[in-house]
Amino acid sequence: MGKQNDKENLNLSRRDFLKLTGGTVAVGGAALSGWGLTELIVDEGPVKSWHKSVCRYCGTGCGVMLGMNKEKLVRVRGDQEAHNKGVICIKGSMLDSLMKDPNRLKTPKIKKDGKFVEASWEEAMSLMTSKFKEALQDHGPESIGYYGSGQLLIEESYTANKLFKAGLRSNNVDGNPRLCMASAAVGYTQTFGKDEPPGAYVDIDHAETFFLIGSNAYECHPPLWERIMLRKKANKNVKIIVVDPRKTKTAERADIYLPVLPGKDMLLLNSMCSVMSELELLDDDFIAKHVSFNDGAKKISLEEYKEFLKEYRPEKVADELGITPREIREVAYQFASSKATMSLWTMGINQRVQGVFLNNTLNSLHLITGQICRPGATPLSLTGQSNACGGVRDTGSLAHLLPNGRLVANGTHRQEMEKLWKVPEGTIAPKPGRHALAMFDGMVKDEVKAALIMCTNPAQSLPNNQYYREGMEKAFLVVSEIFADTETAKFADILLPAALYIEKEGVYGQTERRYQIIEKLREPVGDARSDFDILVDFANRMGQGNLITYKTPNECWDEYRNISKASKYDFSGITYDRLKKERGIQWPCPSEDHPGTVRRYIKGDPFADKHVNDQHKVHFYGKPDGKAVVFARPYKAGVEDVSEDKPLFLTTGRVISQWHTGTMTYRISELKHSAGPGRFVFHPQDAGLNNVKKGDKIEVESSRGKMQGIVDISDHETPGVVFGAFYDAKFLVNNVVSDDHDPISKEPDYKVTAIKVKKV
Amino acid sequence: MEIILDVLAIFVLIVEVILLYQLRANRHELSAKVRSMVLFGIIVFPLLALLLGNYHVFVSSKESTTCQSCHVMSPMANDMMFDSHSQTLASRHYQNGWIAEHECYSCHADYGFQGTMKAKLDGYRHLMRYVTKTYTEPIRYRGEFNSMNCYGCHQGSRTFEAVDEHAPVVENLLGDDPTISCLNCHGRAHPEPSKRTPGSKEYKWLSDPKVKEVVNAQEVKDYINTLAASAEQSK
Repeated sequence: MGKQNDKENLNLSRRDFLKLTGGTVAVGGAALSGWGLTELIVDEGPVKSWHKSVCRYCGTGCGVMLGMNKEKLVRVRGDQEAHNKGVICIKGSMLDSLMKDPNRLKTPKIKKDGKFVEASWEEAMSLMTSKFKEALQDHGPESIGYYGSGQLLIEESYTANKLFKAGLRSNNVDGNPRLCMASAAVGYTQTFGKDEPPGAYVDIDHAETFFLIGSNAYECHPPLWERIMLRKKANKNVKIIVVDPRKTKTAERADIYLPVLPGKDMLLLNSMCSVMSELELLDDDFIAKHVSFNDGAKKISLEEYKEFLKEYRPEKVADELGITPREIREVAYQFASSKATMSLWTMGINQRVQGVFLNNTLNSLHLITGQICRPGATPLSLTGQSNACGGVRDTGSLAHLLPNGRLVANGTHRQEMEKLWKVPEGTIAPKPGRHALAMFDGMVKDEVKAALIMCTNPAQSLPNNQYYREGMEKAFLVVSEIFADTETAKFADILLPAALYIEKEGVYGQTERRYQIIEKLREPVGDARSDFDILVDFANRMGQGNLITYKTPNECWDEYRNISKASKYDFSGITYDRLKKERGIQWPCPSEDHPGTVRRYIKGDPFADKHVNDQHKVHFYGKPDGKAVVFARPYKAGVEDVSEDKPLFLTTGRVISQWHTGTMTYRISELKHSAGPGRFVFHPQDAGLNNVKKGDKIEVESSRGKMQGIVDISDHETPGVVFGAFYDAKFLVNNVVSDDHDPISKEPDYKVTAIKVKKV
Repeated sequence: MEIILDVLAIFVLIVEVILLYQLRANRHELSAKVRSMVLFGIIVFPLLALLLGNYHVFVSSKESTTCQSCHVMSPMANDMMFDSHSQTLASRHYQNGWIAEHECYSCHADYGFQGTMKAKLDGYRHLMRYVTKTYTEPIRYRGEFNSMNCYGCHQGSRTFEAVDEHAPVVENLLGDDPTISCLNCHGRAHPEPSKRTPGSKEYKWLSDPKVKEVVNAQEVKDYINTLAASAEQSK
């Protein structure tokens, strides 16, 4: 009985049930409130919203995610969904420091009696307009000029180009891309009939041999170098060949490093072609179908080309190059026999008196071996500036160009543009304008009276700098700048405060024909205006309101992309809406549902599609016969060469933590500390021979002048070569750099200057 | 150590159940024996169980397999453990054996006791989100990843110190207002969100819990390929 009672008592009473429910609720409540608490204590960081954008600096065009806290940029991260897969570099990582710099130029300034006086926009723009009108009236269109930048937005460069060439009738439109990419652009155009590379970054993931020449990608394009390294780690067959007179950090990581002497590498490229010909490494089938040969004046046969190459047998040229015939043969074999070879180059090739020939021959190496138009097999010139490709090359904002690959000197091209721009026939002057050096030379000679300089710093970046500064002093200069203390700003007669980066909206186009948008995320500082707004205002004041009819960057973009329809650049399918949603689009892209073109001249390229099939996989539509041209380009020794009097080579370049003239990066403490002051860097052997040690002050003399600087010593230099970076305004290395330039591209040779040094 | 704790915990639980049953059956006669049962059954053993249980969770939750046990973590785990071609930082660290144990925890817990507590609280938050299904894929890191967690291991290492380019990074990280992330130069830690989004080509295998049952590298590759192919077909 007792046991039965116990069992009954085990049944839950109403009271027990309530207690149990209460207990469960209490425990559940505790768990939930604990959860609530953990949600509340998460440290969210300072970012309130994230926005997709593009890095402000170099031509890699990395996708970035910008973390904003209201008007402030507080964080920069790599965009994992962009082509760079989240990888950016130290400079881009610190864009937030640049955007919060308190020393920005905030109001227009007019120089009166040698001193800058604050002015209103009305005063500044009225004065600018009257000076330009005066020059036009008194001296004609050739007396005015525009010197732009590969960092302006496409809409800005397009507007300036249209305004000056079709409005003010002056072809004096050039810019700093002349100093960095002109040789690559001419090289592609001559070889393929169209500017801009056939391949893309994604080829890095497929290449088995990387041929880097005149490129210090480790320091100058770090995210691309990281991608090359990942490729190497993923595939044990990958080989990296680096050709550079300096033992850069890129060279240090190469499988094969060729330290050729400065100015001689044309011999190497021709010699490689010679080895390929000798060892029958040429792709005869590809050559027969897709290649023609030319000696610069006329078509030649393959046999004649082979004959030309015999002059460059390794045994004949190795001594002058400073390497061994065996090394040349090894590299030539590796290049030709690899499953997929990708060439990458930058300023070491472009900034040369034989820049165009070098570019031609690099393209030729790929054409004769069939190392092109396949995944991983392609030539790819890396760009220096964030928008030199899209903004300047593609818009034709150089003295000899018109939009989308057209030439000023070509009557048909001028007519096409006059029609597209709706201006009377004969508006565009038939003679190409002044290229960069000629424009500043024109100022020295008092032929260029007034010029507008935007977003660039020629008083620090031009070679033979002292000479051209004289011109800047003489001419009436309007300088649109973000800081008032740049070297060029000092020469301004009017300083205009420009909006920077996310203070304005527009499109950037980089190396691989990829267009990406930068959206406006905050208002410009002070009274600053975008260069676009300045140009539109200037156009109106110059009476060109009927020509520049658009008022917003989006309207301008729509005009320009519609114009592109009439060319093989056709990117009419790339709208602002798409750019805001997608991670950049590669042109050609002829319709809004077109995915863009990764590789040109093969299936998938809208202009090649109807010409290619299983037997004929490639069509170089830039040429009338569909064949790319291999040029027989001879080596010609430059004027700048070492001698008993000037026994050393001076070569200039960038370093990883600084960008160009340091206007932006040299203000950021971490980056400034990392780079240190500008200096001459010697190999220990040269330091010993010249009896100088680290920290010594020396005088360097070249054919262009003298300058003083301090000495640094590094194993990264090679004997006979002195390096000087150009980021420090207190170390104007360009004062002694030669302004010899390529006769075709007019790009100066910053890499080869003969010097002598003297201890001070 | 953990197995001992597990056995001990099960033993304590069994004794506790017996004790409670006996206690209820004898609740009318509060003899000394029953009183000691009260002491052990209601006070000592529950406390012991609580401590042991908590400690057990505390220790076992450091295991990457614990993180992996939630389906929502599969994309991270599968990428890290099984994709030998993956170039994410997590995968490179895991597959190269750069972190000996507690792979997820090693990167995701800040240093010191505070870091441990923060990680545990966050783990609890994850658990609650998971069981209540209050999350959407692709999941995203809330707040900021602490780059000092990278620095903690890499600082002083020969390979880290040999790279001059780390100097401005360290200056920034040790400064008053650190803004840099190591991931900026070294890339993503886990597959990018688009791959972890349901419906994407990669999601199918990244979220597949069975991948962990295939151990041979070639089999994993084949399995991934099969899944990728079927995903392609279903598109």
